[in-house]
Amino acid sequence: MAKAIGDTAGPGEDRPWSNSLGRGRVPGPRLPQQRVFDDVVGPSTQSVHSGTYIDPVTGAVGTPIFTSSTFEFNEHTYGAFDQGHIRDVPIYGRYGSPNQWVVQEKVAALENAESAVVFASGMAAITTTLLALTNRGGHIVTSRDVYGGSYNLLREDMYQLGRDVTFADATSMDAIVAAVRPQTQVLFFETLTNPLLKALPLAELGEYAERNHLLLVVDNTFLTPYCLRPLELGAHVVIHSATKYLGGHSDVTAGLAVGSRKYMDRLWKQMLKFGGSIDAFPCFLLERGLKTLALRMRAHVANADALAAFLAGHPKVRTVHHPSLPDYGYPAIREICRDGFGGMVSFEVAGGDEAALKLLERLTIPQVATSLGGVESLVSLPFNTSHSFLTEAQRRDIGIEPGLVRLSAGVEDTADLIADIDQALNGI
Amino acid sequence: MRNGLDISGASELVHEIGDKPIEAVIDFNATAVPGLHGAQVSIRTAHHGTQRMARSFRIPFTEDSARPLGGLSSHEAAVAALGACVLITHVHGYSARGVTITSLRLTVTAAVDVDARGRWAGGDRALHDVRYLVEADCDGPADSVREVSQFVTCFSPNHRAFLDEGGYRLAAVAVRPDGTPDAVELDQAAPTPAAPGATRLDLTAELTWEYGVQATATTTFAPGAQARRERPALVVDQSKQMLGLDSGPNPQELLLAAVSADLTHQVHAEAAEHGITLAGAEVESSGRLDIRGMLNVSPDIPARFHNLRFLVRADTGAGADLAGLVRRAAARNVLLATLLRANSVEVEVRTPDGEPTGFTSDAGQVAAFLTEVARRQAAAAANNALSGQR
Repeated sequence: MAKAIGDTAGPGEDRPWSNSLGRGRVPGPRLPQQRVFDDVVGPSTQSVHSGTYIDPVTGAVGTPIFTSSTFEFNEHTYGAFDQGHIRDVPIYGRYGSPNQWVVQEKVAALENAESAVVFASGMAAITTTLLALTNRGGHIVTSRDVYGGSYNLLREDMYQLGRDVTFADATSMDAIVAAVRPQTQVLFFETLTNPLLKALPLAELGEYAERNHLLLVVDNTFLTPYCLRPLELGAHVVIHSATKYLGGHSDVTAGLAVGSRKYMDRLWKQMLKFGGSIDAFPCFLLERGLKTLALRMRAHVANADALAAFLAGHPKVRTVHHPSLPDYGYPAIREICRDGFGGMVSFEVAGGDEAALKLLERLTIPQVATSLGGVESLVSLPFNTSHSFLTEAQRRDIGIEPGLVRLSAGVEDTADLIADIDQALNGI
Repeated sequence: MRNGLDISGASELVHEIGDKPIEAVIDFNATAVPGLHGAQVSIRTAHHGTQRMARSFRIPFTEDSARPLGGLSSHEAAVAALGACVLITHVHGYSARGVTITSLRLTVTAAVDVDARGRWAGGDRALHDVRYLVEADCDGPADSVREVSQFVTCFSPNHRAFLDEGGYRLAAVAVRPDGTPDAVELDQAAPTPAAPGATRLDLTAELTWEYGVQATATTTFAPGAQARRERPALVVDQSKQMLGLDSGPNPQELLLAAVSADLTHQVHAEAAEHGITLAGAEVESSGRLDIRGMLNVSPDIPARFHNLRFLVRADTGAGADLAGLVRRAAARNVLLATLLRANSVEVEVRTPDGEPTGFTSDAGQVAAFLTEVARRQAAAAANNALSGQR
């Protein structure tokens, strides 16, 4: 990015051939009124301040909501249309707006990236990313462990769109390497899988992708940039369902893709056509949620660690899946996630799915609902929700046994959560 | 978006390859296998710097051009590949100068010789009498339009591949009945003399600019004047990573496909002539584009499509001399001979308002023009430095 030197390519008589064009890639898009910090400040500071639009008229410390769907043209607008850099100029709501740019700048700062694109949902981010980074005839290697919506996209729609897909064990480099073909363009995995919290061999995968000219796309929804910054370990694009921890209050549906300006520009062009753009108001909610990301994540991590330890010692619990536990199968994640493993815990209750359903009926604090990452604890059973699209045999194949419960630890008092789960377990 | 091209994107690429030279290198691949009347070529995954570009194109060839059956012959495809590259490089050149195109057409003609039996006459009769006519209707001044054509002769990778004395690497891999591969690297084949009684076949490719880096091509030949690829027209485009829409092979892939198809045909013709049974014979080919060369970023790097390699792989009998057969086939190959030697191309430029102009493009013209470009760049740099001091 050293050559980011302006906003026009500048063709004309004085620029006779392509080598004399003047524009390099610039971070952003950004407005001059946005706050930008370098990487020396911590995640809490980035969460609060990065990207905030300071209104030059009033000096308001928070970003106003720009509800306008269109913006007055000026010479920069016409120049951008002529030259092709319309992503950097306010033009139209779907193309980009100040509220989108604020959120993008904040999450790009948290992920230590040049750029980001905000979408109307996590699935819009995933669909747009995978199609933007592959060509017809291309091939994607992924895993059955990915989120159900992603799995359905990969299994049901990618072939229709001219892309082939192979499902491999996300935790095995050998399996991933064996699945790669000459046509493979993208490796797509989750940094911590849903619901069993299996960890990717991320650093190895990053090196392998680099050596073999593959693009590594990871969904970092479960860990968030507070716990892991995958771009620093070789990922090319990081995706978030911002509906979860980034928003953090279960009141907004949004998605984000983060990475270099080069790849984000490609995604953005694809998004313009697919239409997964997001309005100003949900961006405002997302920005407000993001300001407390680090604060909330500390509470989520503490509660998840405490609940995992409690559940591991409970007689009604057969197995607990959590990276903090000594018998966790993928300990390498502890080397790359120094600040915790997010707020998710999965566990199997003795007595199978019937017992698990009874547990849910007895809980009084965690609410039985899908989704995760909000301030409130949520609980669900993969067999009848997120992974109901798999057969029982397929669920067993990836390790989802009867009685598995997925718990999203909120930010309530730890003692209250433990007491409630204890009474519910003892009653089944 | 001028002329459907993202100038900012092109400009950003120029700056990116300044920082990361590896991103300038694009390796293209194709595989030809025998088809019904010639070869069937599959365009394979290309590597663009640190990324892969999956490709999904198959091109059927008809190699009985002297006895017309319809379809596309490798020689017609080669002429279309030259024209498509020249056309699209014009679009880049006009766009970089801020010139908006109304319409752009390019007609390429070339001749190839056939012997009395209607077969290609021989390797030393490369494609000859190559010329193209550029018909540009655009808003740029006539001088500027003419000068872009001069730039194009220097920086169009396929034009330079035709123009420059080039080379290629050739290899044969005979897979023996027990499955053992017997690989031999071969020297470039000296073209065989033309057979007596050769007659001339004229090839024409008409290219029409559609939008951005996309063009359509129709080809014909005479005598016979059979229209080829009229419906549907051959679509030539770039990948989306190279500012295109992925709607067809790009000009380098089309050239690679043409040479591979020609070589496949020749290998099988040689085998039939010498009573050698070949099974599973295919030609794997590859070639390289270096954007630094074609954008004049680095004068030491070739602008032409280069690093060409052809590998013939076939299941053969225990004692069959596949290497000898491939050497002979390559020696009779018109397109390999064309790429091997220095050629010249007659260029004519017409605009609605100006007088038609023309020039001969050859090694001397390219060298002289590049010297002039370097002189202008040095003068501009000195001027800028002077302005900075003020």
